[in-house]
Amino acid sequence: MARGPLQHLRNFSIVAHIDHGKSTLADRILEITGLVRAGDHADQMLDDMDLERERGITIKARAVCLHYPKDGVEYVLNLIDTPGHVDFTYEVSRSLAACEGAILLVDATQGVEAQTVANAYLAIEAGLDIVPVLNKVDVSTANTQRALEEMRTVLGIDPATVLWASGKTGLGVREVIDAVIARVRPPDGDPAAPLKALLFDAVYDTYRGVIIYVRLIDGELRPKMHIRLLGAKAEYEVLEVGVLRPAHEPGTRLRAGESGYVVANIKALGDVRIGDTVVEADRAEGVVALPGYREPKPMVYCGLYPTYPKDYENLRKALDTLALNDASFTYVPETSEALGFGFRCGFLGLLHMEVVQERLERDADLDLVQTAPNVTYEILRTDGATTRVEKPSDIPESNFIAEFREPIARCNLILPAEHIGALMTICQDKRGRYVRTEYLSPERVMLVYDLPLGEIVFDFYDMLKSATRGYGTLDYEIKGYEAADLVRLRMLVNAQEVDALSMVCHRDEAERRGRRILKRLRKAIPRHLFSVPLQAAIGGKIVARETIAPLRKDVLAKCYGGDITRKRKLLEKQKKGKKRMKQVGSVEIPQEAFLSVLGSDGEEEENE
Amino acid sequence: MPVDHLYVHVPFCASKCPYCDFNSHAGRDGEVPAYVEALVAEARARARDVAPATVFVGGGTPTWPSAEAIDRMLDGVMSAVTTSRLTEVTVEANPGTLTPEKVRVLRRHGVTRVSLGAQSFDERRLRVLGRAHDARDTVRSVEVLRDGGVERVSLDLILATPGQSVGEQRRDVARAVALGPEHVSTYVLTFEEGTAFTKSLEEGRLEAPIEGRDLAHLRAACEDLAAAGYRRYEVSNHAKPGAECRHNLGYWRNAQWLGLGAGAHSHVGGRRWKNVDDPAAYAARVAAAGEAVAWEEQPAPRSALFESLMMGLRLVDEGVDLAALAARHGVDPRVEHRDAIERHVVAGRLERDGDRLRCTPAGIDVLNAVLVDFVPDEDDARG
Repeated sequence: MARGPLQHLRNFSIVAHIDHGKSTLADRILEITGLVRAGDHADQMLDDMDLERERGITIKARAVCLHYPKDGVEYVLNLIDTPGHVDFTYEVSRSLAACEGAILLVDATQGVEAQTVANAYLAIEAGLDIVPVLNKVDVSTANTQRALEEMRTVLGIDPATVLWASGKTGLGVREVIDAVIARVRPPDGDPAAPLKALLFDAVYDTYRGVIIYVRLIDGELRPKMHIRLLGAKAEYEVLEVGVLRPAHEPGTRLRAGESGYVVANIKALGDVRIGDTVVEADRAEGVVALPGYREPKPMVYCGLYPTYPKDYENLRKALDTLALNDASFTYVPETSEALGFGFRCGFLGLLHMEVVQERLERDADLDLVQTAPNVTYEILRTDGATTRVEKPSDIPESNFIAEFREPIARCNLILPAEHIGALMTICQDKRGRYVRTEYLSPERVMLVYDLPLGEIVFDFYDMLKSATRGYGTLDYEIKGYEAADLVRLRMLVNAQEVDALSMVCHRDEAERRGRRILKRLRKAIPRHLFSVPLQAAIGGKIVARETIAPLRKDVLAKCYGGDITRKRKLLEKQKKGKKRMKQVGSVEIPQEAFLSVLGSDGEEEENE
Repeated sequence: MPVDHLYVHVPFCASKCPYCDFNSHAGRDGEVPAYVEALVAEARARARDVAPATVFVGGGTPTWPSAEAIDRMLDGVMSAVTTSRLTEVTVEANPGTLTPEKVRVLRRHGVTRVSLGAQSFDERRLRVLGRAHDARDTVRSVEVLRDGGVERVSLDLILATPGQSVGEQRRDVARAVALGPEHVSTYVLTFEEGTAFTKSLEEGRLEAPIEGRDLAHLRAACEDLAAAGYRRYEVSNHAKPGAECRHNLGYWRNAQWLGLGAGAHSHVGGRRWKNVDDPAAYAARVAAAGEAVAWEEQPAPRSALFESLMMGLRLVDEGVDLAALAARHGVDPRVEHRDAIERHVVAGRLERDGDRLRCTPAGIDVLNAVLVDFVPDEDDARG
C-alpha cells in the first residue's frame, strides 16, 4: 500500500444539521474521486441502513478513503462521517477528534440551525480547520445572503471564505475538495513511536465480529500485532487492517496520521468503547491515553413489553441482536404488575429510543407495548446514600427522600424571531431557566435555555415544532443534575395502581398533568360492563379523577339465520382485540393507552 | 337432526329503504319470472327430501311481485317438499302491496302467518325511513289479512328512528297494539355498512345513535308491549302466549334449515352455506347447475358451540340447555366456559338454573359484551 507522505494526506468530516444535504454531498465527493460511479448505488453511500435513510440521519459513522490527483500529486483523503443527531454528541466529538478539518455545511434554504451551531462548536473546540460550504444554492428558495449573515453572526465565519455548492447537481463540489486540500492541514505524528490510536467508531459484522475504526496518532498497526484497549483493559491480536473504498480493502499496515479499520477477533460491541485509546500491548508503557474518553450513559429509559407474553423470548433475542450493533443501548429484564415480563431499556436520547423501537418492530416483527419514557433521576436518601433511579416505580416514599435531582440540559433553540414570545412562554412553563438570546439575523434568533431533560422528553419537542410551524430546531447537552420539587405521580385504574403509567413530574404541575393524562386514558380505554374510576395520586392523595361510564347497551337488534357466520366473526374479531389488551385487575387496557401518557395534543387542550 | 325449517328468499322490492342492508333490489321486476323458475328448480333439486315444520318466505318484499308470480312460486316450492309436518308458513309483506287477491293466493298455499313491515305509524318517520307506504296502508293491510283468514299477523316496528321521541314511539306502539297483531318485532335502528343511512351518518347529515337514547326507546317498547300482553321472548320479539314465530325460534335454537333463493343461507349437518347474492346470477347458476352455492364452511365444534350460545342466549326466558349443547357439540360449555359463566352469573348478567343458562334483563342489553367471553380461543377453535 504505497502512500504519499503525510503531506498529501487529509482527514476530514462533514458537519451539518439534519437534512442539510450532508450525505448527498458525500456521494458527489465519492463520485468525483472515482470511488463510486454515479447512479450505480442507492442515493447516499454512507447511510447503510434503511431507517437512517428514511429519517435522513446517519447513526453509525464510517470512514472512506479517497484518492484525488491534483497538480501532479495523488492526495489521499479520509472522509470520516459523523452521526447527525443531538443524541450522539459524544460520538460526533470522537469522530471529529480523528480529523484535522471539517466541512461545515449549511443549507442555503434553511440557514443556520440548532445542530449546525452545536456541531460547528464541537469542530471549533476540537481545533479543526473549517471549510464553510453553503449547500443547495441552486434551489429557488435559497436565501444565501441570510444564511451567510447567520454564519457570520453565530459562528464568526467570514462570508468571503464560504464556498457555494449543490450536492444534488455537483455544482461547486470539486472546489470544495480543492478547499479541503488547501485549507485543512495535513496530520502530523511519528510513525516510529509506539502505537497510539483513537478508536472513533465500531460496527458489528456477523461474519467477522466487531470491526473498529481508528485514527493513528503515532506508530503503526499491522496484522498479527497484539493490541490493547486502554479503557476497556482488553487485548487482541490484529487479524486485518485496511481502508474502506468503500468496501473493506485490506492492506499491510496503517501508519501515523492515517485512518482505517481493524479486525481483531473482538466478539461483542460491548467490549469496545468509542473514544478508547489503542496501543501495542508490548509497547504500552508510558503511552498516555487520549483525552475525552467517556462511558456512554443512557439518559432516557422506557419499558418495552411484548404484547403477547409468548413473544418474550423473541424480544430478548431481538434486543441481543440490537445491542451487538449499538453499544450505547442498554437493557435489563424487568417485571411490571400491569404488563408482565419485559425489559427496561436505556437510550442516549429520544431519537435514539425511537430508532431502536422502530428497528425492533421492523426487523423482529414484534408487537410491543412501550411505556412512557423517563429520564434518569438522582435521589439523595435521608440516610445519605445517593441512587440513580431509572424508572418511576423505583422511587422511594417521599419520607426517605432528602433531595430529588433531575438532569438539566443546556438547550440551543433556533427559530424565526416572530415566534420568540411563544417559545419563551413554553420554556417558562417547562421550568426553563433563561440563559441568553442571540440574533442570527433580523429574522432568526437563537434562544439558550436550561431545561429539565424530563420536560424535553415529555412533550417539549412537539411543542417547539408546533409553536414555530416546524421551523424551530433544538440541540441540547446535559449539564448536570439539580434538585427540584419532584413527585411521583401515580395512576390508578379501578383503584389499582398501574406502574407502567406512573411518572415523575414537578409538584406544581402534577394536578394539571394528572388531569390531562386521565382525560386521554378515558378515551383510550374502552368502556367496560362496570364503571371504571381513573385517578392520579401523589402518595395517597388523589389529585385528579375521571370515570369511564359503563357499557349499558351492546346487543344486536337483529340476528337471524343469515347473520350467524357474520356475527360470529364480528365477535371473534372483538375478542382478538381484547386479547391484545393488557389486563389490570378486571380492566382491559389497550396498548395505545400506555402511550397516552406521552406528548402534547394541542387540539385536546383547546377543547377544554 | 332433521331439517325442520325451510327459508325462501324473494329479493324484489318496490324501492330500496335507506337503512336496509338486506339482499333486496328495486327496479328489477323484469327478472321475476326467471327468478321464480330458478327458485322452483332449486326447490325440486334440493328440497325433495325435506319435510319442514315451518316455512318462511322473506325478502325483499315477497308480496311485491304479481299474484300470478307469487302463486307460481308458492305452488312450485310447496309441491317440491313434504308438507305433512307443517305447522307454520310465514310470508313477509309490506303495507301497500297486499290485495285481497294476493291474500287469497297466500291462503290457498297454506300461509298461516304474515309479518308486516309497518315500521312506524308516524308519517314523518316513515318518510325519514324512506318507506313507500303510509299508516293507512298498514291499517288496510291488516284488515285485508284478517278478512282473508290469515290466522297470525306480526308487525315490525323500528325504534329510535332519527328525530323520534320516546313519547312518539309510545304512540306508535299503541297504534300497533290497537290493530291486534299476535306478534310484534321491535328493532332499534342500526346503521349497517354500505347503506345510505350510514353514508349520511358519516357525512354528518344524520345524528349518531346515542346509547342512552336507544336504551330508553328499547325499554319503553318492552314495557308498553308487556302491558299489552306481549311477552318479550327474544331480544327484539314479543308475542301473545303461544304466538312466537316457530321458524325464527329454529334459528335461535341453532336448528337445521334449508335456504332457497338468492343469498339464502342454509345450515344442515353442521355445514353452513350461502347462495350467490345477485338474483340474475343466482337464476343463471341454478339453470345451469341445479344449485347456486357461493360459499360454505364447517365450523369446528367449539365455534359451533359458540354459535349455539350466541343465538340461544337471545331467547329471554328459554336461554340454552348446557347439557343438551354438550351432547350436541361434543364440547361441554359447563367445563369450557366455567369461568365466564360464573363471572357473569355473579355479576348478574346471566342466570343459571341447573343446566339452563339465560340472560338476566340486565345481561340481555349487553349480550355482545357477555358473548365475547365465550368466543373460543383461536388456537382451540379448530380443535
